[in-house]
Amino acid sequence: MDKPEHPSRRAFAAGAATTFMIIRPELVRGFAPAKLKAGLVGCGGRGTQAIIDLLTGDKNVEVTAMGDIFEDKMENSIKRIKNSAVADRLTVTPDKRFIGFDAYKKVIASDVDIVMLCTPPGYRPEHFEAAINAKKHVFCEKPFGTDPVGVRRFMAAAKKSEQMKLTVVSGAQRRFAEDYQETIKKIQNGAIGDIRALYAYWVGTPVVQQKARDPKWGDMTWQHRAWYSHVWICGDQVVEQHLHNIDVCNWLMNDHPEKVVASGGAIWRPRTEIYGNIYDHVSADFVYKNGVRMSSYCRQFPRTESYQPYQNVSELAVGTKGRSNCHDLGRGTGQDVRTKFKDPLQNPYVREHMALVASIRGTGPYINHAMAVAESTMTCIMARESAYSGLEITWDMIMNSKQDLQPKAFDYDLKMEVPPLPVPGEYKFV
Amino acid sequence: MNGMTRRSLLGGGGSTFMILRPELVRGFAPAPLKAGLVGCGGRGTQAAQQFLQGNENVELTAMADIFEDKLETSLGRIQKSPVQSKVKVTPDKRFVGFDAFKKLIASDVDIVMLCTPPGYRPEHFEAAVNAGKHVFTEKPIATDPVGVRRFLAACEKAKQKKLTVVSGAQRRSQREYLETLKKVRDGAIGEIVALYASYLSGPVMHAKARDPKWGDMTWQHRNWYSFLWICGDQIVEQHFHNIDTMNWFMGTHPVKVVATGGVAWRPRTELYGNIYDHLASDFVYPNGVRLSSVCRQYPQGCFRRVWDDIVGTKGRTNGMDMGEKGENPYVQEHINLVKSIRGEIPYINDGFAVAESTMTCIMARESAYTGLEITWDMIMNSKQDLQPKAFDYDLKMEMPPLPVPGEYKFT
Repeated sequence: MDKPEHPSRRAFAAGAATTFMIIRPELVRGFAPAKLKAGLVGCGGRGTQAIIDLLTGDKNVEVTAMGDIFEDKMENSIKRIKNSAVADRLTVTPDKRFIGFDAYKKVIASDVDIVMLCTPPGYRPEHFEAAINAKKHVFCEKPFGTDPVGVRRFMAAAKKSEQMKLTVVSGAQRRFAEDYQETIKKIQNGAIGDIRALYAYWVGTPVVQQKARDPKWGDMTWQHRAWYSHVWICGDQVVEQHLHNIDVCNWLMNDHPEKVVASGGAIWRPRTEIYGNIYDHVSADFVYKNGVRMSSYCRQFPRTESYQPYQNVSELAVGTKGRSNCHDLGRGTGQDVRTKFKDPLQNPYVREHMALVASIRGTGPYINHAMAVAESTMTCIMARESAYSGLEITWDMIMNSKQDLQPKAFDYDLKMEVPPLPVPGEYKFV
Repeated sequence: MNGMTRRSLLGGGGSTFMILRPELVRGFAPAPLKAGLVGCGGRGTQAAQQFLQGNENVELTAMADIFEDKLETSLGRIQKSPVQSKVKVTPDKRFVGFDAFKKLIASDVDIVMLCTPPGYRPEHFEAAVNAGKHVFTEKPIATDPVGVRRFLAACEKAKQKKLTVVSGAQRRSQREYLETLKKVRDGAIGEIVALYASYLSGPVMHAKARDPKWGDMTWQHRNWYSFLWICGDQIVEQHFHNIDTMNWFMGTHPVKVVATGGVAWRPRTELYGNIYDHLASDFVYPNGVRLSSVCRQYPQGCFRRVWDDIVGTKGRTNGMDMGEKGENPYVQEHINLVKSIRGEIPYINDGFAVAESTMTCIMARESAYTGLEITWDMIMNSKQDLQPKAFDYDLKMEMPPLPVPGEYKFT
């Protein structure tokens, strides 16, 4: 997927003449305008930081459009970027600040080259499809959906994006950390022998976005303001967060697992509205085609001054000749802690955007991680559904699942029930 | 070790003032050997039958339980079985009550079979060893660290006295496992690099509802699987089998563990007590090899599997697939017990090994309950003692709440 290719302007023009390509040349790899324009969809903390990282990585990029469903989120985002070192390249005129459930369409329709998809993940498939249909290059936050129907929709658009040679970079930033890149390559070349066992951990703390519900908020507003707690829009921790570690294992194996048996529950999360309907822990026993197992553990336990539960975010590969944490055989800092990246150009969160821009301009290898990270997203959903249902779930089962969690209507005051916390034996896998 | 002769024993006895009755000592087994059963539930009843089935010149001469109905039902079942001729439990050797185990041990038996719920095991085992009895002990051998250490101390005594101790970890008597283990030790799968153990099964419910006549303590015994103090939770009571297999193959116990669990389906009602319904553990052995363990008890229709996977650099095994099928291990363990007592095979004392495996399981349980990483040193020094200090059918007993990480305290 990351095969380097540097089509020159001439080669492209020749190709275009003979095959009647209908892509607008300015959008195609190697034909990027001097100044690339990016539009942000989803102006939360992650989206805001992604913009800062994008602008930090390349001087010839500016941000010209923004979209969110909440005006206050956009205002805060603009304020934060204005206070950063890259403030001068935030050139979003008031008519390019789009608010509402259709804001993403307006960002995509505005004159941008790159769309940055940073909303909560439930929306990703629809937004990605729209961006690809409009022939935009995409930075796409992980995960790529919260349900199998959504991931398949994403995958269909991903195929299209490959055909159109659109660049797609994901927020699975370990794929852009130099130490991970070099280590994975060495392991794939036999540095620790044949892989016998994989381990993935995201043993962390809860993401609780709201302390209480504002009585003015309708259900849909509430579920967006507290999106992490709601399965349809978040996907649960194993999908939203643990994807990072599972994606490293899939990347290393160059494959996805064939099946999984998972268990989980909510052991400390109170059964109250702010905690929604996600679990606080899931453990999964994945099996790859070659019989290698990935033991995965994720949980979010609260941490206070007096209570310090165990924490661990990492991966481990065990081979016949050694073991690796998947980033110890390469250069670079590689630690997944932003503050440790003293040199921004070594920061994988910046590097992913540098790679994005270089791929678009043809000055670096073509990158399209859409399908790979979509498979990792599906891997995570497969485990979640196994934990919820108590069933063993195979890749075929999840690829054929009809589960579609997305609302069919959108309005700030829309009435929305919260489905109950999933209970094995009662929850139905569809 | 084995093959001690009457002469050498008398010699030793003469020179060291041994106080054991010679007829109880290895190689001096009287014929027939008399066994007493402590704990007349389903497991005890079956163990007694398997003991009688596997051996000649053995008798069941005493039985004890806290519930008369349990004892009567058990005796009735054994008396109707093919081994009925070996049942010699006269009415004066049927002991009922919380001190029934003491009376049984004091009766004229050579072997004590400890088959109560596991909370009682350390106390019963200690009493049996102090009285110089050989022991068949069901697994697990305790539910808390204080209990495991008490068991270990008694185990040391049993070793000094050469009392045979066989446990209900029946795989240790199963030919398929023994032969596979030997091949693994000889390098059949190369070096072990990863271990997996799972006990994914259905719930164990001993009662459907509480009889209003039952006091708290009666209720907690009638429905013992649901209560932590007496059961130990599934990872200790049931998943023990797999974890013991792993320790056996590794020749040691893990040095630490991080575990997570909870109740996903178990209703938070009295019937379901205060145990978890699922628990996943990430154990680490001294050489860095990890054991990924999962256990759960989920309702009908959910995925079930009791299974192990030992992965080496050159292959993998489920622990038994390189051995021949032999005698039913639940019978074989009693054959071994008697042969060890009679000195026909090397002396057996499984106590230390199963105590370590019990502690391994407790270490994971405490990690899940607390959310902490628990090391072997921490659990070996834990002051947790879950056992009641008074016993009465109508004793008032609070049920501690379901453990919640952040609230539950490791002691």
